[in-house]
Amino acid sequence: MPRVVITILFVLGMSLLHAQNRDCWMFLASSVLPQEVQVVDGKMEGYSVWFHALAISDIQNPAVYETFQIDSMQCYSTDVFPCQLSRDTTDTTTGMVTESSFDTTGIISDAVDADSVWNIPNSGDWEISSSVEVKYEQLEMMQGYDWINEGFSGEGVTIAVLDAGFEGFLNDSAFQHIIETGSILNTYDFVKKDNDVFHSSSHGTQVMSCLAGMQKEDSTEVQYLGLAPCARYLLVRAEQSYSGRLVKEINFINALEWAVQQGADIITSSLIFGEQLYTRQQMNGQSLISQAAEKAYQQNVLVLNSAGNSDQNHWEILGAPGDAEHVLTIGACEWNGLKSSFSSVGPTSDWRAKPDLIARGLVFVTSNNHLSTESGTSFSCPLVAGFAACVMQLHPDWSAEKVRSELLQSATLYPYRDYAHGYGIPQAGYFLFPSDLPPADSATFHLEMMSDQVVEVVVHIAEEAVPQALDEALGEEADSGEGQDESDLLYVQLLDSLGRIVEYWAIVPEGKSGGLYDISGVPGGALKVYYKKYIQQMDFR
Amino acid sequence: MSGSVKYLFLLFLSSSALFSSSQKVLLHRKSSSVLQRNETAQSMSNAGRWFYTRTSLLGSVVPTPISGDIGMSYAGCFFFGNDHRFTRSISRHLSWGWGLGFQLLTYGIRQQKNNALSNQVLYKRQSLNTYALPVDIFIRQHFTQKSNTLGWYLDLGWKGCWNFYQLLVSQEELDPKVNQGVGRRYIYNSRLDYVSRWAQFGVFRMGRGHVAVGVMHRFTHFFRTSNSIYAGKLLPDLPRWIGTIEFTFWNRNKSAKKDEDEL
Repeated sequence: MPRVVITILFVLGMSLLHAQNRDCWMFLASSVLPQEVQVVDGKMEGYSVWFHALAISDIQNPAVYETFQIDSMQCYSTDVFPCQLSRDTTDTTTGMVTESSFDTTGIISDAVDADSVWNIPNSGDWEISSSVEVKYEQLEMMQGYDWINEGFSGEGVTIAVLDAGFEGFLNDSAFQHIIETGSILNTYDFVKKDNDVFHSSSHGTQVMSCLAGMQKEDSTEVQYLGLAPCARYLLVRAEQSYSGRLVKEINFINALEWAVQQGADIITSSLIFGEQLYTRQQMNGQSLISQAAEKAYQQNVLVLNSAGNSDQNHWEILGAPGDAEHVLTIGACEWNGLKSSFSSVGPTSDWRAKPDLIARGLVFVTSNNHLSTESGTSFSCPLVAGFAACVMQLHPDWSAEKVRSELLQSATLYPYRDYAHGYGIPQAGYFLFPSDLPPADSATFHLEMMSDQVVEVVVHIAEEAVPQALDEALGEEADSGEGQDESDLLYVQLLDSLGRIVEYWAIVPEGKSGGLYDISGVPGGALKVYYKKYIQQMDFR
Repeated sequence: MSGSVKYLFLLFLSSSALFSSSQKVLLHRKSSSVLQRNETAQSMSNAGRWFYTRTSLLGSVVPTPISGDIGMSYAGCFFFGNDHRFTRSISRHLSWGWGLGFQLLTYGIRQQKNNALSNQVLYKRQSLNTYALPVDIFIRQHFTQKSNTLGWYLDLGWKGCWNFYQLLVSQEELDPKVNQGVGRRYIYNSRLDYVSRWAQFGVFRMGRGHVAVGVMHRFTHFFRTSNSIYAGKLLPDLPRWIGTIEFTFWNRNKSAKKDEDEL
């Protein structure tokens, strides 16, 4: 008898262990303690106009907060006050520190005098340890110097930068041209609810350097770190940490609403809301943050967001609001156009293709008068935002939708795209010299059916390209990942019958061989290949 | 080469979709592998609600010197537990939780002449088993940020157990010739009035994601006085330390679905 009882209890225990239905347990839990945060014990974190939602946090537990949708707008109180900025200027000969302050609010310089900007005294100690060629690469890959040479610098465009803080910005001489010309239209800290954003983190300062940083090597030569030094800026602190350690949707949503209210043409954010806040299934563009970004876009504001740096960790995929339909999601790439190892990939959980574009992920940034290299999609995104500002300067009549569409079409791989590179890197030549665009290339490869299930990509090699030359080009350098530019990479993807990319590659072809591909896993699908501006698709229907 | 041989040759080469022998593959991804993953632990979106896990515990008694008339056969000591735990955030780095469960603790009793539990009989094996329903309360320190995996954590807690059933199992060797072919006999003694019905443990465990290791220390005496044994005196206590390894599971799909529903 005791053995029977023991056996029953053991089986009962094991069955509970493997029980899939947790509802009974959750009911038990909920009956013991309340599930919801009590508003009476809460603190209002913010109110969203767009969603009519009130965010309340638990005073006893700041990690817990809930968003309630309400009909009343009485709590809306994101008043913004004039921003007093101060700057310490050190005289290098006497060592005297002079403090000057000025009101940035309302100082909108429609006609920025570039000469007066570049002649700002160099007040910092420069630490330049890199060659000019490397320094230019982050812009050169986008043909950014064509914008510069043609006189485009984002003038007349208002860019809102959402980040975790802009520490060191005021004292960095790389931004003095912005400060002197009153190009900072306004600032707001949605974490502390005040106007001071120049603290807590230098991440925003580094992001700004990819938008508007200017390096003066001597009295005449100026180096661009970003493409929009003459744009006007709204600096917004929307999070405590760019890595999402403290994630509050309401701050970001409020920041978006505020930026639109302030008249931003472009909103760029290097804040990524992923694993800490959401599940993978929620990366379908329907999160509150993504919906808010989408609403900003609907109000004719171009919204760009970093894809994220999670490809090498558990999360892998991009974060919100990069999953929103019309947000330009920017990934990072290596010097040869290949996706950076850390750059998050798509698709979204509802199988929409993301990211949209890529830009250099290892960049030179300035922070506290110190020039250094940093990596991350955080910096790819402002590079493209600066690029977009130049497009808007060139075509001020274009809507955000039009700019977005043209940016995609200007990219190196367009119309090919995959879930790692998007459409590739945007190219200034598409906008500046459309007549110079190369005609549709002749075939650079063809596809051969080896069997019912195997397709070979055969690369066309010009007669003069003898195998020895290829060996030299692809030998040691290829082994070390060097020696090709993006045009040397062959991109292949397998699509299922619904047009979704189920598998994709980027390879360096060896001689004529572009690889053999098993198509048995995609009945009714297709094989799509891109190589040197030529695309071919083979359907298996 | 016939068609079928050629096909087999190609099939042999295609260990993956791409079987290029010389191409330098810089990137190869399968979208399904990205989308299929799903873990939902105490991410910030889950911080405001109870997070349910079920945990299996395996372990044994930590060898400890005993002064008295009960020797331990530590190879026969075994601990099995099954907990259902609920945790909820207190702050960014702290959670508290409680749990209900079932546990089995078996002490192997070494056979020796002065064994207080064997009535001077030397059995082949003997074990003292307690079946308990534990309730535990713990506080959890998170060392990694809240996300879709549990990350590193440290629990410090108290566990109270009701020993609802006690069983002393003795295995006796018999001579089959004398006992009609029966070579062994088990003797079960249950409802042992000299075993305490209640036990309290201090619990300490450190874990990462689905796996944790921990120790439990019993605060209370294992036995209680009884006139039926040991001349009415309190038996010497059994080892108080138990080492455990825990495997924690949570329903990933349901957690994710719940999050979607609540958005």
